[in-house]
Amino acid sequence: MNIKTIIINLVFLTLSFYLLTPYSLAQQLTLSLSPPLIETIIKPGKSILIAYRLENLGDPAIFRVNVLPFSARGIYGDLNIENEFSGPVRFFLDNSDIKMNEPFFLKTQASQQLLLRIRIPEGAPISDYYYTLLAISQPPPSIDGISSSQVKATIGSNLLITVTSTGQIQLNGKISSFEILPRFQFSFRGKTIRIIDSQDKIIINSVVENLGENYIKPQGEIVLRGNFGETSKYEYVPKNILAHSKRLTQAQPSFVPDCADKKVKEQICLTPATLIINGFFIGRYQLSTTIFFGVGSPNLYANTDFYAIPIKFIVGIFVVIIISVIIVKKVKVETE
Amino acid sequence: MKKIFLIVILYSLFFIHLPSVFAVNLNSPQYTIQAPNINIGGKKQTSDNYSVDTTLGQLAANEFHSNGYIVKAGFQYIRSIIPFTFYISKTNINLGTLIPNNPNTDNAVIRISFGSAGQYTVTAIEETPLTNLGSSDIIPNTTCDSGTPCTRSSANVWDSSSSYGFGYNMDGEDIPGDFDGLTYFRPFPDRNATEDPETIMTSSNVTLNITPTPNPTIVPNPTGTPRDITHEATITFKANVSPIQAAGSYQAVINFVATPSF
Repeated sequence: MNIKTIIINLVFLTLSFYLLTPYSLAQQLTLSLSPPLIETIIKPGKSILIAYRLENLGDPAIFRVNVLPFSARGIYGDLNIENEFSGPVRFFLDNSDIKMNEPFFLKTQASQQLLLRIRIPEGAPISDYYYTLLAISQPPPSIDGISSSQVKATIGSNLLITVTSTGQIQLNGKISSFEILPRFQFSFRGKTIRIIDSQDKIIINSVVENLGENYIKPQGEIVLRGNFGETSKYEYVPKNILAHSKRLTQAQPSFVPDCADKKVKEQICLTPATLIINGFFIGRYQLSTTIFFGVGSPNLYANTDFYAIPIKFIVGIFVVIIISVIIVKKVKVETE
Repeated sequence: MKKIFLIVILYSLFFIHLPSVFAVNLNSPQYTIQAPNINIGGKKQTSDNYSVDTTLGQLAANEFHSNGYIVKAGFQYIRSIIPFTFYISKTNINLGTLIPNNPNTDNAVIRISFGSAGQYTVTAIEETPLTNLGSSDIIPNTTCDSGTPCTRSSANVWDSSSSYGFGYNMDGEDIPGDFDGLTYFRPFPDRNATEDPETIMTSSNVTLNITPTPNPTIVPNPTGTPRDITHEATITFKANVSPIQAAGSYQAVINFVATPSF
């Protein structure tokens, strides 16, 4: 092969590479991490090993694993992950080939077991510690010549760690609010009167505050009693409330609106609720709730009431009567 | 003779009343499972007088005192083996060549499958603003149109070609209520300015039916309609530059964090 042929081939291949190779813009990420939650009660000086499974169901990517503390944000179960590590709990990866915060490659459809060692040092303060295990993807390189935004995808799994020497945990909470969202509300002789239309959905909000040093799981029920003796019961979903925080509880079975439908712009789509009851209501109703946090905790009780009146129906009938009277009078005048 | 007759009758009665042995034999041409573990206790038992949610396992107090720890994995009120999964359709958002007063957009689909999680949240934060890597000039985050200002937590209309910046719109399931249409945008929170990540998708929709579909666990009396365990939304990135914006390629890194609730 002479030098001329080599140059021609080289130029041809170089041009082909630059002109025909498309940008790889469509890299997609699909990650799964399980289990999604770990709750542990542990003595100081002990260590435990948790096996997580990280799966890459998307394109090949580079990941790293980190653990950061989190706290509850607001009352809707949101969390705020801190930027820096803090707290006495120590985390290590027991994997031989992966270290904490160091990159590793995961090909398509591959999974990686993450062996997370949690160690509580002797003398660690008796308290709750909340952390999130994060699997973080490395953003792709930027592309020259265009403006672009690189996406970094992170998936997390939460760890609720209660450090106790005796196994005793504090179950100390209160119902900080238990109310419905009425259509009308006013005071009459010092009493609050709440009114809904008979066809309205009953939106109930029950917020529980954790006053203790350990997370709690409220259990119990909401009971709706009508003026004809009819009763319906709704059980609380046992969701964790972190120490010294409030959380909107959830009860079931609840009505779920189709909030993706842009035509449905109701209050229930804007803020979450504990329970939404759908139906036709008439008369006075009493709502009560009983909550407890486990064996040995006292039962907490709260109640409220409301009146359901067929306002739309009454207004409709009134309008029909007025129109009828007007028509009858007109016909009478014309015939005279 | 009488004795033999009696023995025959007794043996016959024994074999007639011998209870069936419900040995579970799980096999097919492809597999055989020997000694399978059948969960007979992990279910809700109810009657008019009681309601007990049982989970087979060691006694917690004994376990704590002997081992020094108790560990529970997953949400006790959700019986699902479907993992918590986070999908994003692309990792490189192409805003192309930015020309003054000509907004450019690109979008990505975000999908969450929360079979094993009762509630989830997806947050977004800008690790770096849209920055010119050569000169360190930045395209500022949008404040939307002058008459309809938006903030990190409140979307508003950004439709004017003379309103500049970088922002995003959300459309689909579980998105914040302030995204009232495709012209509603928000700026990203900026980690460099020590701002907190903002929630862009969230759902606690376990109350419709905590048994997902398809459901690997048999539930005797499921209530409600089957729960949709996969939720999807589209995020649209938008950038618009002013005539005085320095020329060059601008790059940003956006971090999306998907976490189940606690």
